[in-house]
Amino acid sequence: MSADLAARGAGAARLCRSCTHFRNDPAYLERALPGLNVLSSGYASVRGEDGLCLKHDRFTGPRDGCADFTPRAGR
Amino acid sequence: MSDTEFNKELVETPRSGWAELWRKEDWWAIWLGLGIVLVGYVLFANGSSIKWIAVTPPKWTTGAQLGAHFAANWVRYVAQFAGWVVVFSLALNALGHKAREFIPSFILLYVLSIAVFIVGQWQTANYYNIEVPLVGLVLGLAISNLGGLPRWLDSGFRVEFYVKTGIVLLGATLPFTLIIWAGPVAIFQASIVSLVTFFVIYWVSVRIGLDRQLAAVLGVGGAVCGVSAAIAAAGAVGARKEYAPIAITLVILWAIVMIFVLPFAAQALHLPSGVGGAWIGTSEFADAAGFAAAQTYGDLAARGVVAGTGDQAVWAFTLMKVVGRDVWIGIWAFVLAVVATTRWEKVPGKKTDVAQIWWRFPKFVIGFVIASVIVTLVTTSYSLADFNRTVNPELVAPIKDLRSWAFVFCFLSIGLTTRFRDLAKAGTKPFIAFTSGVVVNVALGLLLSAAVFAAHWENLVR
Repeated sequence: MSADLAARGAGAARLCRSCTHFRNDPAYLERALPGLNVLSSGYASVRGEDGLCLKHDRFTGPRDGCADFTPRAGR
Repeated sequence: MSDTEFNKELVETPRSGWAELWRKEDWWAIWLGLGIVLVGYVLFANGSSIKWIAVTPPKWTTGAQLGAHFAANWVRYVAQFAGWVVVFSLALNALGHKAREFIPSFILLYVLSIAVFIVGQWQTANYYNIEVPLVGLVLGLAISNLGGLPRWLDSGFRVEFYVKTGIVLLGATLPFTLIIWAGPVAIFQASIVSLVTFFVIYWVSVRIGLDRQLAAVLGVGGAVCGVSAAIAAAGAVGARKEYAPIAITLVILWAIVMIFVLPFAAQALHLPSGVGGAWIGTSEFADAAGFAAAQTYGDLAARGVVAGTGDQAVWAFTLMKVVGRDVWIGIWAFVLAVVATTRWEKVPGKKTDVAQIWWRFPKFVIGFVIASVIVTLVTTSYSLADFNRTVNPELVAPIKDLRSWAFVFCFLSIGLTTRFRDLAKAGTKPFIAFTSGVVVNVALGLLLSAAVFAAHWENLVR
Protein backbone atom coordinates (compact mmCIF):
# COMPACT_ATOMS: atom_id res chain seq x y z
CA MET A 1 0.00 0.00 0.00
CA SER A 2 1.40 3.42 -0.88
CA ALA A 3 2.03 6.06 1.80
CA ASP A 4 -0.74 8.20 0.28
CA LEU A 5 -3.31 5.41 0.45
CA ALA A 6 -2.27 4.53 3.99
CA ALA A 7 -2.71 8.17 5.05
CA ARG A 8 -6.14 8.29 3.42
CA GLY A 9 -7.12 5.06 5.15
CA ALA A 10 -6.05 6.47 8.50
CA GLY A 11 -8.04 9.64 7.80
CA ALA A 12 -11.15 7.65 6.94
CA ALA A 13 -10.83 5.69 10.18
CA ARG A 14 -10.88 8.97 12.15
CA LEU A 15 -14.26 10.08 10.86
CA CYS A 16 -17.21 10.76 13.18
CA ARG A 17 -18.85 7.49 12.20
CA SER A 18 -16.05 5.63 13.98
CA CYS A 19 -15.91 7.97 16.98
CA THR A 20 -17.13 7.06 20.45
CA HIS A 21 -18.81 10.46 20.83
CA PHE A 22 -21.02 10.05 17.75
CA ARG A 23 -24.64 8.88 18.00
CA ASN A 24 -26.77 8.44 14.88
CA ASP A 25 -29.09 5.60 15.74
CA PRO A 26 -32.60 6.77 14.71
CA ALA A 27 -34.28 5.45 17.87
CA TYR A 28 -31.70 7.24 20.02
CA LEU A 29 -32.19 10.49 18.09
CA GLU A 30 -35.96 10.29 18.51
CA ARG A 31 -35.47 10.05 22.27
CA ALA A 32 -32.81 12.76 22.39
CA LEU A 33 -34.80 15.27 20.31
CA PRO A 34 -38.30 15.70 21.82
CA GLY A 35 -40.99 15.84 19.15
CA LEU A 36 -38.82 14.54 16.29
CA ASN A 37 -41.26 11.66 15.71
CA VAL A 38 -44.36 13.88 15.66
CA LEU A 39 -44.08 15.48 12.21
CA SER A 40 -40.87 13.83 11.06
CA SER A 41 -38.77 10.81 11.89
CA GLY A 42 -35.30 9.66 12.75
CA TYR A 43 -35.65 7.08 9.97
CA ALA A 44 -36.26 9.59 7.17
CA SER A 45 -34.00 9.97 4.15
CA VAL A 46 -33.68 13.73 4.66
CA ARG A 47 -31.61 13.16 7.82
CA GLY A 48 -29.05 11.24 5.82
CA GLU A 49 -26.80 9.57 8.40
CA ASP A 50 -26.34 12.68 10.52
CA GLY A 51 -26.21 12.35 14.26
CA LEU A 52 -25.14 14.06 17.45
CA CYS A 53 -21.63 14.60 18.74
CA LEU A 54 -21.80 14.23 22.53
CA LYS A 55 -18.36 15.79 22.89
CA HIS A 56 -19.27 19.08 21.24
CA ASP A 57 -23.09 18.90 21.62
CA ARG A 58 -23.55 19.49 17.92
CA PHE A 59 -25.14 17.89 14.92
CA THR A 60 -22.55 16.29 12.75
CA GLY A 61 -22.29 13.99 9.76
CA PRO A 62 -20.63 10.57 9.65
CA ARG A 63 -18.00 11.85 7.23
CA ASP A 64 -17.02 14.80 9.42
CA GLY A 65 -14.17 14.58 11.91
CA CYS A 66 -12.16 16.61 14.39
CA ALA A 67 -9.09 16.63 16.64
CA ASP A 68 -11.10 15.14 19.52
CA PHE A 69 -11.70 11.90 17.64
CA THR A 70 -11.71 8.91 19.98
CA PRO A 71 -12.12 5.48 18.45
CA ARG A 72 -15.03 3.39 19.68
CA ALA A 73 -14.18 0.48 21.91
CA GLY A 74 -13.53 -2.72 19.97
CA ARG A 75 -12.29 -0.96 16.86
CA MET B 1 -28.71 6.00 30.34
CA SER B 2 -25.15 4.80 30.65
CA ASP B 3 -22.53 5.25 27.99
CA THR B 4 -22.35 1.49 27.56
CA GLU B 5 -25.98 1.47 26.56
CA PHE B 6 -25.28 4.30 24.12
CA ASN B 7 -22.59 2.25 22.47
CA LYS B 8 -24.94 -0.69 22.06
CA GLU B 9 -27.38 1.56 20.25
CA LEU B 10 -24.97 3.19 17.92
CA VAL B 11 -25.52 2.17 14.34
CA GLU B 12 -22.49 2.23 12.13
CA THR B 13 -23.09 4.17 8.97
CA PRO B 14 -23.10 1.69 6.12
CA ARG B 15 -20.35 2.10 3.55
CA SER B 16 -22.79 1.02 0.84
CA GLY B 17 -25.60 3.36 -0.11
CA TRP B 18 -27.67 0.29 -1.01
CA ALA B 19 -28.40 -0.30 2.68
CA GLU B 20 -30.75 2.70 2.48
CA LEU B 21 -33.16 0.48 0.58
CA TRP B 22 -34.09 -1.37 3.77
CA ARG B 23 -32.86 1.00 6.48
CA LYS B 24 -34.90 4.12 5.61
CA GLU B 25 -38.64 4.45 5.96
CA ASP B 26 -38.85 6.38 2.67
CA TRP B 27 -37.90 3.23 0.79
CA TRP B 28 -40.23 1.05 2.82
CA ALA B 29 -43.06 3.45 1.99
CA ILE B 30 -42.17 2.89 -1.67
CA TRP B 31 -42.07 -0.91 -1.34
CA LEU B 32 -45.41 -0.98 0.48
CA GLY B 33 -47.15 1.62 -1.66
CA LEU B 34 -45.98 0.21 -4.99
CA GLY B 35 -46.61 -3.33 -3.74
CA ILE B 36 -50.26 -2.45 -3.08
CA VAL B 37 -50.55 -0.75 -6.48
CA LEU B 38 -49.03 -3.75 -8.30
CA VAL B 39 -51.18 -6.29 -6.44
CA GLY B 40 -54.20 -4.14 -7.29
CA TYR B 41 -53.20 -4.07 -10.94
CA VAL B 42 -52.50 -7.81 -11.19
CA LEU B 43 -55.91 -8.60 -9.67
CA PHE B 44 -57.58 -6.06 -11.97
CA ALA B 45 -55.83 -7.47 -15.06
CA ASN B 46 -57.10 -10.93 -14.14
CA GLY B 47 -60.70 -9.84 -13.74
CA SER B 48 -60.63 -9.48 -9.97
CA SER B 49 -60.12 -6.48 -7.66
CA ILE B 50 -58.40 -5.37 -4.46
CA LYS B 51 -61.63 -3.68 -3.37
CA TRP B 52 -62.74 -6.58 -1.13
CA ILE B 53 -60.01 -5.76 1.37
CA ALA B 54 -60.19 -1.97 0.90
CA VAL B 55 -63.32 -1.64 3.01
CA THR B 56 -64.14 1.60 4.86
CA PRO B 57 -67.14 2.58 7.00
CA PRO B 58 -69.81 4.24 4.80
CA LYS B 59 -71.79 7.43 5.38
CA TRP B 60 -74.50 6.71 7.96
CA THR B 61 -77.33 8.34 9.85
CA THR B 62 -78.66 5.61 12.14
CA GLY B 63 -76.98 3.09 14.37
CA ALA B 64 -78.89 0.33 12.61
CA GLN B 65 -77.22 1.20 9.28
CA LEU B 66 -73.83 1.14 10.89
CA GLY B 67 -74.51 -2.14 12.69
CA ALA B 68 -75.69 -3.78 9.47
CA HIS B 69 -72.51 -2.66 7.67
CA PHE B 70 -70.20 -4.15 10.28
CA ALA B 71 -72.26 -7.33 10.60
CA ALA B 72 -71.95 -7.87 6.86
CA ASN B 73 -68.30 -6.85 6.51
CA TRP B 74 -66.46 -7.77 9.72
CA VAL B 75 -64.43 -10.47 7.96
CA ARG B 76 -63.15 -7.87 5.48
CA TYR B 77 -62.02 -5.64 8.36
CA VAL B 78 -60.24 -8.53 10.06
CA ALA B 79 -58.49 -9.42 6.80
CA GLN B 80 -57.52 -5.81 6.20
CA PHE B 81 -56.18 -5.45 9.72
CA ALA B 82 -54.12 -8.63 9.29
CA GLY B 83 -52.77 -7.33 5.98
CA TRP B 84 -51.67 -4.02 7.51
CA VAL B 85 -50.07 -5.81 10.48
CA VAL B 86 -48.06 -8.09 8.20
CA VAL B 87 -46.72 -5.39 5.86
CA PHE B 88 -46.08 -2.79 8.55
CA SER B 89 -44.43 -5.35 10.87
CA LEU B 90 -42.14 -6.42 8.06
CA ALA B 91 -41.10 -2.83 7.39
CA LEU B 92 -40.79 -1.68 10.98
CA ASN B 93 -38.89 -4.80 11.99
CA ALA B 94 -36.35 -4.06 9.26
CA LEU B 95 -36.08 -0.49 10.60
CA GLY B 96 -35.30 -1.81 14.09
CA HIS B 97 -38.66 -1.67 15.85
CA LYS B 98 -39.84 -4.59 17.97
CA ALA B 99 -42.90 -6.52 16.72
CA ARG B 100 -43.99 -7.17 20.33
CA GLU B 101 -44.32 -3.40 20.80
CA PHE B 102 -45.65 -2.53 17.34
CA ILE B 103 -48.49 -5.08 17.19
CA PRO B 104 -50.37 -4.07 20.39
CA SER B 105 -49.80 -0.44 19.44
CA PHE B 106 -51.22 -1.00 15.97
CA ILE B 107 -54.24 -2.87 17.37
CA LEU B 108 -55.05 0.26 19.39
CA LEU B 109 -54.41 2.49 16.37
CA TYR B 110 -56.66 0.40 14.11
CA VAL B 111 -59.53 0.35 16.61
CA LEU B 112 -59.23 4.11 17.10
CA SER B 113 -59.11 4.56 13.31
CA ILE B 114 -62.42 2.72 12.92
CA ALA B 115 -63.87 5.01 15.59
CA VAL B 116 -62.52 8.07 13.74
CA PHE B 117 -64.03 6.85 10.45
CA ILE B 118 -67.37 6.22 12.14
CA VAL B 119 -67.53 9.72 13.63
CA GLY B 120 -66.23 11.34 10.43
CA GLN B 121 -68.79 9.49 8.27
CA TRP B 122 -71.74 10.43 10.49
CA GLN B 123 -74.00 12.75 8.50
CA THR B 124 -74.81 14.83 11.60
CA ALA B 125 -71.09 15.39 12.29
CA ASN B 126 -70.57 16.49 8.68
CA TYR B 127 -73.31 19.09 9.13
CA TYR B 128 -71.05 20.75 11.72
CA ASN B 129 -67.96 20.41 9.47
CA ILE B 130 -66.49 17.71 11.72
CA GLU B 131 -64.27 15.88 9.23
CA VAL B 132 -62.21 12.68 9.57
CA PRO B 133 -58.75 14.35 9.80
CA LEU B 134 -59.88 16.72 12.55
CA VAL B 135 -61.58 13.93 14.51
CA GLY B 136 -58.38 11.86 14.36
CA LEU B 137 -56.17 14.73 15.40
CA VAL B 138 -58.39 15.88 18.30
CA LEU B 139 -58.91 12.34 19.59
CA GLY B 140 -55.16 11.66 19.49
CA LEU B 141 -54.29 14.94 21.18
CA ALA B 142 -56.87 14.32 23.92
CA ILE B 143 -55.56 10.82 24.64
CA SER B 144 -51.88 11.81 24.72
CA ASN B 145 -52.28 15.05 26.68
CA LEU B 146 -55.18 14.38 29.03
CA GLY B 147 -54.60 10.72 29.80
CA GLY B 148 -51.39 9.57 28.25
CA LEU B 149 -50.16 6.27 26.92
CA PRO B 150 -46.95 4.33 27.66
CA ARG B 151 -44.16 5.65 25.49
CA TRP B 152 -43.35 2.22 24.05
CA LEU B 153 -46.66 2.37 22.20
CA ASP B 154 -45.11 5.07 20.00
CA SER B 155 -43.56 2.29 17.92
CA GLY B 156 -46.93 1.92 16.18
CA PHE B 157 -47.63 5.66 15.88
CA ARG B 158 -45.30 6.27 12.90
CA VAL B 159 -46.65 9.56 11.50
CA GLU B 160 -44.07 9.92 8.74
CA PHE B 161 -44.16 6.31 7.65
CA TYR B 162 -47.94 6.36 7.27
CA VAL B 163 -48.05 9.67 5.46
CA LYS B 164 -45.28 8.61 3.05
CA THR B 165 -47.08 5.34 2.32
CA GLY B 166 -50.25 7.36 1.76
CA ILE B 167 -48.45 9.73 -0.61
CA VAL B 168 -47.13 6.83 -2.72
CA LEU B 169 -50.70 5.46 -2.90
CA LEU B 170 -51.92 8.94 -3.76
CA GLY B 171 -49.60 8.90 -6.76
CA ALA B 172 -51.68 6.02 -8.17
CA THR B 173 -54.77 8.24 -8.16
CA LEU B 174 -53.10 11.28 -9.70
CA PRO B 175 -52.56 11.38 -13.50
CA PHE B 176 -48.89 11.71 -14.45
CA THR B 177 -49.87 14.29 -17.06
CA LEU B 178 -51.14 16.47 -14.22
CA ILE B 179 -47.73 16.35 -12.51
CA ILE B 180 -46.08 17.42 -15.76
CA TRP B 181 -48.66 20.13 -16.44
CA ALA B 182 -49.04 21.64 -12.97
CA GLY B 183 -45.67 20.76 -11.45
CA PRO B 184 -43.69 23.72 -12.89
CA VAL B 185 -46.21 26.27 -11.55
CA ALA B 186 -46.12 24.55 -8.17
CA ILE B 187 -42.32 24.67 -8.14
CA PHE B 188 -42.31 28.35 -9.16
CA GLN B 189 -44.89 29.40 -6.56
CA ALA B 190 -43.33 27.30 -3.81
CA SER B 191 -39.86 28.66 -4.57
CA ILE B 192 -41.04 32.26 -4.22
CA VAL B 193 -42.70 31.56 -0.88
CA SER B 194 -39.86 29.40 0.42
CA LEU B 195 -37.19 31.97 -0.36
CA VAL B 196 -39.17 34.87 1.09
CA THR B 197 -40.13 32.90 4.23
CA PHE B 198 -36.56 31.73 4.80
CA PHE B 199 -35.08 35.21 4.51
CA VAL B 200 -37.78 36.78 6.70
CA ILE B 201 -37.16 34.28 9.51
CA TYR B 202 -33.40 34.49 9.06
CA TRP B 203 -33.34 38.30 8.94
CA VAL B 204 -35.62 38.73 11.97
CA SER B 205 -33.62 36.10 13.90
CA VAL B 206 -30.31 37.81 13.30
CA ARG B 207 -31.80 41.27 13.97
CA ILE B 208 -33.04 40.21 17.40
CA GLY B 209 -29.74 38.62 18.28
CA LEU B 210 -30.15 34.93 17.60
CA ASP B 211 -27.21 32.84 16.45
CA ARG B 212 -26.99 32.45 12.65
CA GLN B 213 -27.09 28.66 12.87
CA LEU B 214 -30.34 28.82 14.83
CA ALA B 215 -31.64 31.39 12.34
CA ALA B 216 -30.88 28.99 9.48
CA VAL B 217 -32.48 25.99 11.21
CA LEU B 218 -35.63 28.01 11.98
CA GLY B 219 -35.69 29.51 8.49
CA VAL B 220 -35.46 26.21 6.61
CA GLY B 221 -37.94 24.62 9.02
CA GLY B 222 -40.47 27.33 8.24
CA ALA B 223 -39.72 27.56 4.53
CA VAL B 224 -39.34 24.00 3.27
CA CYS B 225 -40.73 20.98 5.07
CA GLY B 226 -40.89 21.65 8.78
CA VAL B 227 -39.16 19.34 11.24
CA SER B 228 -37.46 17.24 8.54
CA ALA B 229 -35.97 20.35 6.98
CA ALA B 230 -34.87 21.70 10.35
CA ILE B 231 -33.03 18.43 11.10
CA ALA B 232 -31.43 18.41 7.66
CA ALA B 233 -30.30 22.02 8.10
CA ALA B 234 -29.00 21.32 11.60
CA GLY B 235 -26.84 18.51 10.24
CA ALA B 236 -25.68 20.55 7.27
CA VAL B 237 -24.46 23.51 9.30
CA GLY B 238 -23.28 21.56 12.36
CA ALA B 239 -25.81 23.31 14.59
CA ARG B 240 -25.74 23.10 18.36
CA LYS B 241 -27.80 20.24 19.76
CA GLU B 242 -30.43 22.46 21.40
CA TYR B 243 -31.33 24.31 18.19
CA ALA B 244 -33.26 21.50 16.49
CA PRO B 245 -35.66 20.92 19.44
CA ILE B 246 -36.48 24.65 19.41
CA ALA B 247 -37.40 24.44 15.72
CA ILE B 248 -39.31 21.20 16.31
CA THR B 249 -41.45 22.82 19.02
CA LEU B 250 -42.29 25.85 16.88
CA VAL B 251 -43.06 23.80 13.78
CA ILE B 252 -45.37 21.44 15.70
CA LEU B 253 -47.25 24.26 17.43
CA TRP B 254 -47.81 26.28 14.26
CA ALA B 255 -48.51 23.22 12.10
CA ILE B 256 -51.27 22.07 14.45
CA VAL B 257 -52.74 25.58 14.64
CA MET B 258 -52.74 25.74 10.83
CA ILE B 259 -54.54 22.40 10.50
CA PHE B 260 -57.53 24.04 12.15
CA VAL B 261 -57.13 27.58 10.77
CA LEU B 262 -56.32 27.16 7.06
CA PRO B 263 -59.30 25.01 5.92
CA PHE B 264 -61.86 27.20 7.64
CA ALA B 265 -60.13 30.44 6.65
CA ALA B 266 -60.19 29.20 3.04
CA GLN B 267 -63.87 28.36 3.43
CA ALA B 268 -64.60 31.80 4.90
CA LEU B 269 -62.82 33.37 1.92
CA HIS B 270 -64.91 31.19 -0.47
CA LEU B 271 -61.78 29.76 -2.08
CA PRO B 272 -62.40 26.96 -4.60
CA SER B 273 -61.07 23.56 -3.63
CA GLY B 274 -57.92 23.67 -5.80
CA VAL B 275 -57.04 27.19 -4.66
CA GLY B 276 -57.50 26.24 -1.01
CA GLY B 277 -55.33 23.17 -1.49
CA ALA B 278 -52.59 25.23 -3.13
CA TRP B 279 -52.69 27.73 -0.26
CA ILE B 280 -52.45 24.95 2.31
CA GLY B 281 -49.57 23.41 0.34
CA THR B 282 -47.74 26.71 0.33
CA SER B 283 -48.35 27.62 3.95
CA GLU B 284 -48.42 24.41 6.01
CA PHE B 285 -45.15 23.30 7.57
CA ALA B 286 -45.18 19.51 7.34
CA ASP B 287 -46.58 16.90 4.97
CA ALA B 288 -48.62 15.09 7.62
CA ALA B 289 -50.18 18.27 9.04
CA GLY B 290 -50.77 19.62 5.55
CA PHE B 291 -52.59 16.49 4.44
CA ALA B 292 -54.85 16.78 7.49
CA ALA B 293 -55.75 20.34 6.46
CA ALA B 294 -56.00 19.60 2.71
CA GLN B 295 -58.09 16.45 3.26
CA THR B 296 -60.41 18.47 5.51
CA TYR B 297 -60.85 21.07 2.77
CA GLY B 298 -61.31 18.35 0.18
CA ASP B 299 -64.02 16.76 2.35
CA LEU B 300 -65.78 20.13 2.54
CA ALA B 301 -65.65 20.33 -1.28
CA ALA B 302 -66.89 16.75 -1.66
CA ARG B 303 -69.97 17.70 0.37
CA GLY B 304 -70.57 20.83 -1.72
CA VAL B 305 -69.70 23.26 1.08
CA VAL B 306 -67.00 24.84 -1.10
CA ALA B 307 -66.64 24.92 -4.89
CA GLY B 308 -64.68 22.24 -6.72
CA THR B 309 -63.99 18.57 -6.06
CA GLY B 310 -62.44 16.79 -3.11
CA ASP B 311 -59.54 15.58 -5.26
CA GLN B 312 -58.60 19.11 -6.34
CA ALA B 313 -57.69 20.20 -2.80
CA VAL B 314 -55.55 17.12 -2.14
CA TRP B 315 -53.89 17.15 -5.56
CA ALA B 316 -53.11 20.89 -5.45
CA PHE B 317 -51.69 20.47 -1.96
CA THR B 318 -49.56 17.50 -3.02
CA LEU B 319 -48.17 19.25 -6.07
CA MET B 320 -47.31 22.34 -4.05
CA LYS B 321 -45.91 20.67 -0.95
CA VAL B 322 -44.30 17.48 -2.23
CA VAL B 323 -43.25 18.50 -5.75
CA GLY B 324 -42.80 22.23 -5.09
CA ARG B 325 -41.14 22.18 -1.68
CA ASP B 326 -40.02 18.81 -0.30
CA VAL B 327 -37.77 17.74 -3.15
CA TRP B 328 -35.52 20.78 -2.75
CA ILE B 329 -34.42 20.04 0.81
CA GLY B 330 -31.05 18.59 -0.26
CA ILE B 331 -30.19 21.75 -2.20
CA TRP B 332 -31.13 23.94 0.77
CA ALA B 333 -28.95 21.81 3.04
CA PHE B 334 -26.02 21.94 0.65
CA VAL B 335 -26.18 25.71 0.15
CA LEU B 336 -26.44 26.27 3.90
CA ALA B 337 -23.51 23.94 4.51
CA VAL B 338 -21.39 25.89 2.04
CA VAL B 339 -22.36 29.22 3.62
CA ALA B 340 -21.85 27.89 7.14
CA THR B 341 -18.38 26.54 6.44
CA THR B 342 -17.16 29.48 4.36
CA ARG B 343 -18.88 32.54 5.84
CA TRP B 344 -19.98 31.70 9.39
CA GLU B 345 -18.36 30.27 12.47
CA LYS B 346 -15.93 27.50 11.62
CA VAL B 347 -17.19 24.19 12.99
CA PRO B 348 -14.18 21.90 13.50
CA GLY B 349 -14.06 19.04 11.01
CA LYS B 350 -17.29 20.08 9.26
CA LYS B 351 -17.31 19.08 5.60
CA THR B 352 -19.57 19.97 2.71
CA ASP B 353 -20.44 17.41 0.10
CA VAL B 354 -22.59 18.05 -2.96
CA ALA B 355 -23.71 14.41 -2.78
CA GLN B 356 -25.97 15.32 0.15
CA ILE B 357 -28.44 16.69 -2.41
CA TRP B 358 -29.12 13.04 -3.21
CA TRP B 359 -28.64 11.60 0.32
CA ARG B 360 -31.27 13.95 1.67
CA PHE B 361 -33.67 13.63 -1.26
CA PRO B 362 -37.06 12.52 0.12
CA LYS B 363 -37.04 9.20 -1.72
CA PHE B 364 -40.74 8.46 -1.21
CA VAL B 365 -41.37 11.05 -3.94
CA ILE B 366 -39.86 8.53 -6.40
CA GLY B 367 -42.55 6.03 -5.39
CA PHE B 368 -45.22 8.71 -5.75
CA VAL B 369 -44.12 9.44 -9.33
CA ILE B 370 -43.74 5.74 -10.29
CA ALA B 371 -47.22 4.94 -8.93
CA SER B 372 -48.61 7.81 -10.99
CA VAL B 373 -46.81 6.57 -14.14
CA ILE B 374 -48.01 2.97 -13.63
CA VAL B 375 -51.68 3.83 -13.27
CA THR B 376 -51.52 6.44 -16.03
CA LEU B 377 -50.04 3.86 -18.45
CA VAL B 378 -52.61 1.27 -17.39
CA THR B 379 -55.51 3.63 -17.96
CA THR B 380 -54.44 5.27 -21.25
CA SER B 381 -55.99 2.49 -23.34
CA TYR B 382 -59.43 2.96 -21.74
CA SER B 383 -62.12 5.38 -22.88
CA LEU B 384 -63.54 7.73 -20.24
CA ALA B 385 -66.70 5.63 -20.10
CA ASP B 386 -64.73 2.40 -19.56
CA PHE B 387 -62.55 4.12 -16.98
CA ASN B 388 -65.60 5.20 -15.00
CA ARG B 389 -67.28 1.79 -15.38
CA THR B 390 -64.37 -0.54 -14.61
CA VAL B 391 -60.95 0.99 -13.87
CA ASN B 392 -62.13 3.47 -11.28
CA PRO B 393 -64.33 1.21 -9.14
CA GLU B 394 -62.12 -1.88 -9.48
CA LEU B 395 -58.63 -0.36 -9.22
CA VAL B 396 -58.34 3.37 -8.50
CA ALA B 397 -61.11 3.78 -5.89
CA PRO B 398 -59.91 0.84 -3.73
CA ILE B 399 -56.35 2.25 -3.76
CA LYS B 400 -57.85 5.58 -2.71
CA ASP B 401 -59.67 3.86 0.17
CA LEU B 402 -56.46 2.21 1.36
CA ARG B 403 -54.79 5.61 1.10
CA SER B 404 -57.55 6.98 3.36
CA TRP B 405 -56.65 4.37 5.97
CA ALA B 406 -52.96 5.29 5.79
CA PHE B 407 -53.83 8.95 6.27
CA VAL B 408 -56.15 8.24 9.22
CA PHE B 409 -53.33 6.24 10.87
CA CYS B 410 -51.17 9.32 10.27
CA PHE B 411 -53.65 11.91 11.59
CA LEU B 412 -54.27 9.88 14.74
CA SER B 413 -50.54 9.35 15.21
CA ILE B 414 -49.87 13.09 15.05
CA GLY B 415 -52.18 13.55 18.03
CA LEU B 416 -51.00 10.46 19.89
CA THR B 417 -47.32 11.48 19.69
CA THR B 418 -47.79 15.19 20.39
CA ARG B 419 -47.16 15.58 24.11
CA PHE B 420 -47.04 19.31 24.65
CA ARG B 421 -45.44 18.93 28.09
CA ASP B 422 -42.47 17.07 26.57
CA LEU B 423 -41.61 19.62 23.89
CA ALA B 424 -38.55 21.81 24.43
CA LYS B 425 -39.12 25.40 25.50
CA ALA B 426 -38.67 27.53 22.38
CA GLY B 427 -38.07 30.92 24.01
CA THR B 428 -39.52 34.30 23.11
CA LYS B 429 -37.01 35.36 20.46
CA PRO B 430 -37.21 32.18 18.37
CA PHE B 431 -40.99 32.37 18.67
CA ILE B 432 -41.01 35.94 17.37
CA ALA B 433 -38.67 35.12 14.49
CA PHE B 434 -40.56 31.98 13.42
CA THR B 435 -43.95 33.65 13.78
CA SER B 436 -42.88 36.55 11.59
CA GLY B 437 -42.15 33.98 8.89
CA VAL B 438 -45.52 32.30 9.47
CA VAL B 439 -47.35 35.61 8.95
CA VAL B 440 -45.50 36.42 5.73
CA ASN B 441 -45.79 32.82 4.49
CA VAL B 442 -49.56 32.68 5.01
CA ALA B 443 -50.18 36.10 3.45
CA LEU B 444 -47.91 35.52 0.45
CA GLY B 445 -49.26 32.00 -0.03
CA LEU B 446 -52.81 33.38 -0.12
CA LEU B 447 -51.85 36.13 -2.58
CA LEU B 448 -50.16 33.71 -4.98
CA SER B 449 -52.78 30.94 -4.70
CA ALA B 450 -55.94 33.06 -4.70
CA ALA B 451 -54.85 35.93 -6.97
CA VAL B 452 -51.70 35.45 -9.08
CA PHE B 453 -52.19 31.74 -9.95
CA ALA B 454 -55.89 31.46 -9.00
CA ALA B 455 -57.08 30.39 -12.47
CA HIS B 456 -54.44 27.68 -12.62
CA TRP B 457 -55.38 26.10 -9.29
CA GLU B 458 -59.14 26.60 -9.68
CA ASN B 459 -59.15 24.75 -13.01
CA LEU B 460 -56.90 21.90 -11.92
CA VAL B 461 -58.23 18.77 -13.74
CA ARG B 462 -61.48 20.44 -14.63
